[in-house]
Amino acid sequence: MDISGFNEDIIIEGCRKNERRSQELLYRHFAKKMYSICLSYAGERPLAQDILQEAFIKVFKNIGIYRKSGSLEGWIRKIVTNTAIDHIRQRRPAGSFVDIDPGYFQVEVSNTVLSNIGFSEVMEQVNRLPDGARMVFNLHALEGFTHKEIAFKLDITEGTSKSQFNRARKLLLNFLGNLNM
Amino acid sequence: MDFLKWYKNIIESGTEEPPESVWENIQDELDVDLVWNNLEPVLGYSKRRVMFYRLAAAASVMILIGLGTLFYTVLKQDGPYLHRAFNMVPMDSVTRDASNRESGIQTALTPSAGFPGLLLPEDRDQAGFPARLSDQADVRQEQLLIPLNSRTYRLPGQSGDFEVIRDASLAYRPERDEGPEPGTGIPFFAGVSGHAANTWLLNNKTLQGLKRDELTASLPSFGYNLSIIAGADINNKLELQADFFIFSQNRQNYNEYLYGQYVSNSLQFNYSGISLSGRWQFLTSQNNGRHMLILGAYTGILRNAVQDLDGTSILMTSEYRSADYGIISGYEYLHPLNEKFTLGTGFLARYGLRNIFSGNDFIPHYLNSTRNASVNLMISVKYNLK
Repeated sequence: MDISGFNEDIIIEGCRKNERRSQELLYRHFAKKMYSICLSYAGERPLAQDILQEAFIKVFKNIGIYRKSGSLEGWIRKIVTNTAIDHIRQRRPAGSFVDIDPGYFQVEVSNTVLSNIGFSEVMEQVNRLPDGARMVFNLHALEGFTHKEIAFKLDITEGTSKSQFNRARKLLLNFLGNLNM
Repeated sequence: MDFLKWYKNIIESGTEEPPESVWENIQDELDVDLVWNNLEPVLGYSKRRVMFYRLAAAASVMILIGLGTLFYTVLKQDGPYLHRAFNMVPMDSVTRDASNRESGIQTALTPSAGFPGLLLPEDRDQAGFPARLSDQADVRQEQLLIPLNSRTYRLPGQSGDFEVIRDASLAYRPERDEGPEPGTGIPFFAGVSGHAANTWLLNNKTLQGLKRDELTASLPSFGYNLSIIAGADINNKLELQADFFIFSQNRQNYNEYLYGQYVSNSLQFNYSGISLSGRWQFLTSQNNGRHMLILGAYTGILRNAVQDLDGTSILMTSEYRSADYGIISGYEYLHPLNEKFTLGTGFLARYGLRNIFSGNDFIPHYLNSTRNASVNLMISVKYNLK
């Protein structure tokens, strides 16, 4: 479907009227970006697809209450993130955080190394992180939440959020650094 | 390079497309919601409408039964109902009672010339009965009714206008045509009735088939009814009649586009049942014919339902409810052939209040609401039993 002529106002109005073409245009326009975010939270494709599906259904059902005070993309992204949090919280097993401080790992990765790493490789490495740690890392790195906000959302302490973020960051750097070895 | 910025950038510029199945699933979910949103108000409205129809049918039946019982009870007793209902005294009973109590002296009142309808309570005797008789034989009954609890009005100079008469036979006698005489009972009648009916199966398919641009065409359909009738003249204006239908047909014919070709599709429902109707005479003709308005209710038991699809008959009884009920209204002209026989002709509209479709493996009953309806031409012969 051609989405080059995407006009946000017209599409939103069409979605409010339950017009399937407008809904598809909206989905096609944001699907790739939101799917990447889902993948980063879920760590695996089937779960990411479930999150994406549920999030867009919420978008279409609630677009009537969307006010144009913020960007449409930001509003959709917020729904995607919250849906991801709900999914991860439901299935979070015990020990979903990083228990061992990986401080002894090599955490310095050169710019050259990073520039040679693609999206799918990053996703593979992110998937190796425990669910809880991955969630904390993404909420801070992608959404810019403070540790206080993360602690509130995930029902953990602020200290846990900070420590999990640091450990997840070190682990991920270590995983990525090992890609070129 | 800041690792977090690099990470955010690479995630947000992701190149992986979600599989197409995600969008298909989203569409499915939205379709389910859309269908439910469309259905919900319809289903709610249908429930309310069904309840209304049921209450209306129940009320109609109750009113008919109540009226019938009321008139029957009243006519079984001596004297018209109105006299008791409005606490009034008919003159003929007054004179009878008065004669019993006053050793054969019968008295009645006649209205004054200036006030033909007015009788004064002061002109009654001690027991509250009128004291004088009229010598006018053609005095109407309604002029001679005296409210026992009315206030006393005496008009100056009017008391002398009343005359005493001694002949009770000159007092009011009920006219013969104002209902059965006291003690004679109700005139009953019986007979047969036949209907040629233009029948319709009211559902979405039939209604859609009436549109020109639809592939399915709903065709006029005809059925026939035969009934044994029995009834009674409640008074000279009102009859109650029960029709016992030996058979009653409802049909609906379609032309449908099935399997790449046009085929005929006919549904036929065969019922046995009963209808109860009140018939009110609103006009009489010079040749003693009577014009009657009909209002009543019917119920029927489904004997079988058959679908004829391009010459192949299929029994469909299990997909339809075993009973139907509804309301009837119409007009009938009754022409007396002689003292005993009456010929009736007229038309009748029947409208089913019940969804007769009970559902099948594919369609629940509430998604294919179907009602019987018909416009019947009728002819009947009635034999007056009394």
